[in-house]
Amino acid sequence: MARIEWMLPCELAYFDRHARICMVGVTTQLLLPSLPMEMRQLMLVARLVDHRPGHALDLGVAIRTPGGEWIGPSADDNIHVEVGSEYILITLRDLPFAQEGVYRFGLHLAPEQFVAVDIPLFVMASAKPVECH
Amino acid sequence: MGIVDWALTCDFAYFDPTGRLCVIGADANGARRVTSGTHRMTLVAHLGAECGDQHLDPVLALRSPKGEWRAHDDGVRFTRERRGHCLLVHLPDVVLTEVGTYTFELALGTKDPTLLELSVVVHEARHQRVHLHGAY
Repeated sequence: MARIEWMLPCELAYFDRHARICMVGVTTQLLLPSLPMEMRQLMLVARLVDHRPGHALDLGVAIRTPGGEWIGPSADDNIHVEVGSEYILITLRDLPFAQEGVYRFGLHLAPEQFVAVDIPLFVMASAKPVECH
Repeated sequence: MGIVDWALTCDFAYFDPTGRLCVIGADANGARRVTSGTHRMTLVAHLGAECGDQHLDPVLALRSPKGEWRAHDDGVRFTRERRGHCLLVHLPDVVLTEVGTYTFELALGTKDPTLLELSVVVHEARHQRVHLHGAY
């Protein structure tokens, strides 16, 4: 039975012309200038093992806010799932972040398997503009 | 795998200016296929939470398809980088000339070493005959 070995959040992920995975900006925390804010794009890369090609995958994605509320994509365009031979790429767009704290990104593979990754979100003070002469 | 959550081989991996990991051209565990020759590649190991700040002191050895061992002293050059939970081992010019499966063995940790195995399958280089037609 197919299972998820690991999952990583990153800025961008894609398959190259040899169908190998490329991941840019693997994220362990989110630093935002202010809140509330919508993040344009975040991707999740999940390593899929024991998957038989051609078999349908039953996938579900959800995000838990620091307040304990589970949220999902607000529109069909806000989520895109691509399954390669051994990887699942999930693109999340216009993510609504409203508070500091730990956000949990969860992936369901069939009802019995749940993998999650926790990402702390911090608001960083905006940098002072540099005077240029 | 002990202190290692997962590992993979790739064309190249690096940390961007904000310290985030970037991985280019990654193969699944044990499935990298290359033609015989000299290659540049990077091994990426994602360390588990229990690893903490443990000194890893990586030792890398390479076993050829015929079972011969090569280590750092025998021409397996590598450099290493570590940030947070990620360890990168860069191999700038590893010579893989025998057809078959090479196995990298990466030993990590001094107190209770973890041995990590990653395989690379080498096949014959197929030379392409190219005819160029053009005029200057």
